[in-house]
Amino acid sequence: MTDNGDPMNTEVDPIHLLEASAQRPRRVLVVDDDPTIRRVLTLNLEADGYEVSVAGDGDEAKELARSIHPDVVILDVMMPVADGYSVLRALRSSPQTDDIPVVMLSARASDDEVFQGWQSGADSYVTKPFELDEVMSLVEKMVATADDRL
Amino acid sequence: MKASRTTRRVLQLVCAHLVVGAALLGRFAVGDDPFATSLLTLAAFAAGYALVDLIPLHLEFRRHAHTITITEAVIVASAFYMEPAGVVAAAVIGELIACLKNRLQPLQLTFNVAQTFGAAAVAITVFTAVGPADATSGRAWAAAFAAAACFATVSMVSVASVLTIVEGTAFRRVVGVTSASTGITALASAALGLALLTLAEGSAAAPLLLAPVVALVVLESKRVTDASAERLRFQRLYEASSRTARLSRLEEAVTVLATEARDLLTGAQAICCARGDDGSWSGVVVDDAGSRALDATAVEELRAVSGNSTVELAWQQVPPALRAVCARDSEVVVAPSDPTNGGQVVLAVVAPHGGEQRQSGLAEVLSAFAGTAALAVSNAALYAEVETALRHQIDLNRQKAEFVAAVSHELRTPLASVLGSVQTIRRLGARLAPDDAEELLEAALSQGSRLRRLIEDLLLVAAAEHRTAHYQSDPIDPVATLRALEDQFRAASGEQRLRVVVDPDVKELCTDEDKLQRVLTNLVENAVKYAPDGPIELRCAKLDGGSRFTVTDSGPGIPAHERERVFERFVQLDQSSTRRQGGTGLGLHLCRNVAELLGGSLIVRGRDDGRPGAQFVLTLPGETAVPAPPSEPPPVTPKADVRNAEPFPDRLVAPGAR
Repeated sequence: MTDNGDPMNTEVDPIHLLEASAQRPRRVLVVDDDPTIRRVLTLNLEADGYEVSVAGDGDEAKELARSIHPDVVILDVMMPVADGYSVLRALRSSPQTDDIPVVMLSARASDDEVFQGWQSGADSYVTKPFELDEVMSLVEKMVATADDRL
Repeated sequence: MKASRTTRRVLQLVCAHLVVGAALLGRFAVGDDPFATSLLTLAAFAAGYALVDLIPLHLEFRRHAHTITITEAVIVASAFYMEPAGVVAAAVIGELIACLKNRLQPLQLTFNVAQTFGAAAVAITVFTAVGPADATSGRAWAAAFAAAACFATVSMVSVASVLTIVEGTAFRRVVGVTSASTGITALASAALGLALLTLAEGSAAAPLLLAPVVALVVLESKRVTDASAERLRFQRLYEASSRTARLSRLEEAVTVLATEARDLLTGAQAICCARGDDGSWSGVVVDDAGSRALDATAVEELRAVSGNSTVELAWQQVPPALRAVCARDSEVVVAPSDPTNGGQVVLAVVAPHGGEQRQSGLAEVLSAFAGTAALAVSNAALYAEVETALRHQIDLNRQKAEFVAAVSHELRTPLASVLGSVQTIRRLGARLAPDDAEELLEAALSQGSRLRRLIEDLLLVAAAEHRTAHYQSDPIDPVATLRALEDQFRAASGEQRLRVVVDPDVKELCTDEDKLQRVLTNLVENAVKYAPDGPIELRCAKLDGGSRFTVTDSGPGIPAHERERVFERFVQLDQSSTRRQGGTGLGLHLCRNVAELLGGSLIVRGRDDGRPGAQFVLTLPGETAVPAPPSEPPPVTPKADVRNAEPFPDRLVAPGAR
């Protein structure tokens, strides 16, 4: 655990990551109704050695979170059917999923909305357009924190 | 329960007076003739007592108006002429006469008489104890002052006690307010009584010398009464005015004003009529039963009868509809507000005919209050107006904030895709499969285009809303335009459902091709999004002096009451579906604004064949053949340029364009 705790380290060596977690690749659930964003995040996460599942709406996200129990969820706020906040509430209300770290991703960027995002119980709130490196390092940090807890 | 308890306590007080009075009088040995002097003397003093009791004098002391009587003078004077029993009897008889004349209620009468009996008994006991020889001696003066002081003190304490019982006033407060005037009166009365006595000793007619002084005192007392009554009226007017200064709703204001007018003139009923914002008059009647609306006929009568000045109406002069409202045989004072100053209020107060204490100057007070009422009513109207404007402004600000938030969201979403794609290509470099890289580039390009179109739409909407966008008016071939649109849709999105129909008589059309295409593209895209199944028909037909384009889909359609709303900006009837479709919420708003900019119109309705679906109808003027050339060439560029969304000083106006 030399590099993983360092937030400045944005380039993650997948081999190193695998060594650190030893048993299995880390699983990330990407939830966004925009296919391009899903694709972008999937490509980057997979390249960094994560296993990625995707969901296009809130209900699908709730299902997947329960069944695959991801290590991190990247969650869009404005989605059809069930929005990001309702997914977040669902995750936090179930003992199986309440410890999963969540990064909220949203195009809602006014002060009020960002404040609401931080208040919602998410572990992080990132506004669109996002810096890819920032999101990747957030995911990495959350995986590391979860490992520390174990 | 309370009333009977009050009565009982008053009667206890009465008994106390009688017992004390009787005990004191019993101490005097009843001589051979208790009334040593003649009955004539007794009658004279009783009459004198009644007279001074009936002419109350008013005096002002420490800015309080006091009403006093100089009964002590009679007591003192009679003490020199009669046995104690005679003095008390004269006082009691005089008091009884005065009470009967004033039509006091039985309980009041009983108390007053008993109180006089007790007080007179105490006074005469003290007088006798000092024992003056004759009226001119020094002891006589001492006895007179002592007797007067006792009489006044007992009276004051009795009255304060009874006020405490009946009205709940604090005993000390009554004593505090009245003690000074009572003391002064008692001493002055005693002196007056002795003076009269001394003068009468010399000559029976001598007391008449005091007549001018008495007259002066009575007149002055009258002036004080009037002044204090007037001050009281103005004070009440002022209080009523300040209470009504902050009324904020017209209906509430009218009722409150009527209530205040009624209290101000102590009338049985009061009416307030006021002119509303829309110029219509309405009125309210207030009486003991509460308030209710006055019917329109009565309002009209009231306005007609008052004209421009205050009037006092006897029952015979009251118009019929108003009579129906007022108590029978009333008198009505009607006061309009100053007509040169808006003149929007008429007040009326109804009082019983020949009511007690009919004061003069009531009409003036009501007239003055009408001015205040008019002010209160215009304040209320102004308040309502400001409130409405403020609410509108708040709405507008909220809409603006929502618009900015929505625009921000709509711009950020495609930008996130563009930046995310490009960053991925750079970040992963060789690790990225060529196919994936290609896909990301495609996405970046298409999202970039979406962004560009959104920005153009925004600018066009802004310009079209302000009617500052430029547009061409060139002859175009609708058939070619529509075919091009069809091809574009097929090529870009593989959309096979679009069917273009052009009626055979459609020929050339004069309009802005670019903007027409923009509107039609938006309408077709809208149909593709919201009607996922079934054919979409784009039809062009010729009209008299124009052409009509219809876009018909087979979707769920739009409920009739929502049809206008879809043209508002950022209105999405079904939020979730819009998200799913990735719409900007600007499309239809843009279409309508551009249609109006081109001098045409855009509506939505149900399908004309009655099947489910929506039909957007775009009507454009400027038929064929003769192109309507602009009066001068566009100043910047021949093509419409939405990037120049700022107002142009010399914008072009096409025929039919607003």
